[in-house]
Amino acid sequence: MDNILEPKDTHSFVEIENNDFELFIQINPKGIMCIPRNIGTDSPQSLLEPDTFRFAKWLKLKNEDVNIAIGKADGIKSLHSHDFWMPIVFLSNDVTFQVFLGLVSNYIYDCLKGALKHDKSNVHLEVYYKDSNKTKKFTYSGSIEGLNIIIKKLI
Amino acid sequence: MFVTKGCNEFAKPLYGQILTALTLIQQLEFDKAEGTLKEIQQKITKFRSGFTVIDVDELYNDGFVLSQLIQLFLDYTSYWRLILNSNFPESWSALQDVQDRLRSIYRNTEEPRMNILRHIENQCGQLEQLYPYKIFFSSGFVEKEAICSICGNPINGFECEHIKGKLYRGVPAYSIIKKAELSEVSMVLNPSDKRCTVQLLNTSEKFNGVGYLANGIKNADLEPLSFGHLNFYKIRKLNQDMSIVGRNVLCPCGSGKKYKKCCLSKAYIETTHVEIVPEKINLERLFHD
Repeated sequence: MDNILEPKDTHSFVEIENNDFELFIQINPKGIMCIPRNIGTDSPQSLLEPDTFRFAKWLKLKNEDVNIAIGKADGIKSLHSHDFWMPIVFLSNDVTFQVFLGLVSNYIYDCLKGALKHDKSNVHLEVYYKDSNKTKKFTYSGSIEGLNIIIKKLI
Repeated sequence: MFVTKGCNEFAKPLYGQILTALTLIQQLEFDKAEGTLKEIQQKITKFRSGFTVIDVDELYNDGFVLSQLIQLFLDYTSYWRLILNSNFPESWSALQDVQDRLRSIYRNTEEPRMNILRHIENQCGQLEQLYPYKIFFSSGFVEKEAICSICGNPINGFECEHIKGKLYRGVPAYSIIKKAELSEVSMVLNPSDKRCTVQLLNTSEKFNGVGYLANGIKNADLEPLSFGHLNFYKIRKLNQDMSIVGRNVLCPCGSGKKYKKCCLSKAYIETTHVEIVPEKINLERLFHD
C-alpha cells in the first residue's frame, strides 16, 4: 500500500501567463528573483520558502556572475524538514532554465555533505522562465534522484 | 581527517586514550568511559583556547571538529547506557543526538574520514529500524525576525554573509529567532528533528526489538560497537486470539459458515522477526581513515 505521507515524484512544464513575471522580465535583464507566495485566505501573508536565503547566500558565495534578489515578504516559512524547499524563482534572460537547474543541483550536493546515508530528502521547486518568447512554469516535488534524472535529460 | 598539521599533531597522542574509552564502552564500563572522554575534552578545550588571531581559520575549524568527535563518543556512551538501563523512549532521543553529532562532523570535514564514523552511522541506521517510531510531529513556523549568531545582523538578509550551519573560525553559524508565529503542527515522515514522537511507555511491547538487543548485550552475546546489522523477515505464527477448530465445522465466530470459508485465514498472523547480527571489529582499525 502506498504511504500517503510519502509523496511520489511529480513534475510539470506548463505554458502560462503571469503578469508579475512579465513585469519582472521587462525591468530585470539579468539575474534571478526569489518571490514570496501568498498564504492564507482571511489575512494572507506573503511568505518566502525555507531555503530562500541559504540558497541566495550560497549562490553569491559560489557564483558571482549570477545576480540574485529577494522580493519583499511578511516572513519566511520554517518547516524543520530534511527537504529542500527551494525559493520560487523568476529567471531573466541571462539565466537559462538549464543553468538554474545546474545551480540547484550543486547547492543540494553541497548541503548533503552533512547527510547520513539513511537520511532522506525531497526537493520542491517552482521556476518561471522564458522559452522561445513563451512564459513557462516548471514545478517539481519529489526525490533528489528524480530531479537529477530530469536535469540529465535537459542539460 | 583534519586539515591542519597543528591539529593532527595535537590529536595523535589522544588516540590511545580514545581507544581506551571505546574499549571501556565495549566492557559496559560507561562511567569510566565517560570520565576518560571528559578528560580528553578538557585537553581539547585547553588546546583551542590557545589559538590566536594569527592562526588560520582551518585550525579553529579543526579544533571544533575534534571536540565534536569526543562529544560524539560521549553521546554514544549515553545512548548505550540508556539501552542497558532499558530506558527506551529516552534512548531514541540519545540516538538522534549521536546522529546530529555525526552530521556536524561530516559537514565540516572531507573524506577520508575515520572508519569508526561510518561504522557508527551504519549502526544508527540499523538501530532506528528497531524502534516503533515511523511518523513524527513537526512544527511549522513563520519566521518574522531572526538574527545571525555570529554577526548579530538579520540572518535573512544580505548584510549578514554567514550561512546557517557553516563554520566560521571554529564557530557554527545559526539563526536566533527573535519573533515567530506558529503556523501548524504536522505529522510527517521526514523531519529534521525526529525527537517529537507519540509517547509510549517504557514497558510497551513495541520496544521488544530494542529490549532484545539490550538483553543480548547484558548477556554478553554482543558488545555495543560489535553490533553489525539487522535482518528483518516476516514469519507466520498462530493467532492467539483465534480458536482453532476443524476446517469443516461451523465457525466459532457465529457467522453460520464453515470455518474454512470464514475465519481460517485469520488463524495465522504475519509478524516481523528481527535477527541481530554481530560483527567482528578491530577497534584500532576502526580508528584509521
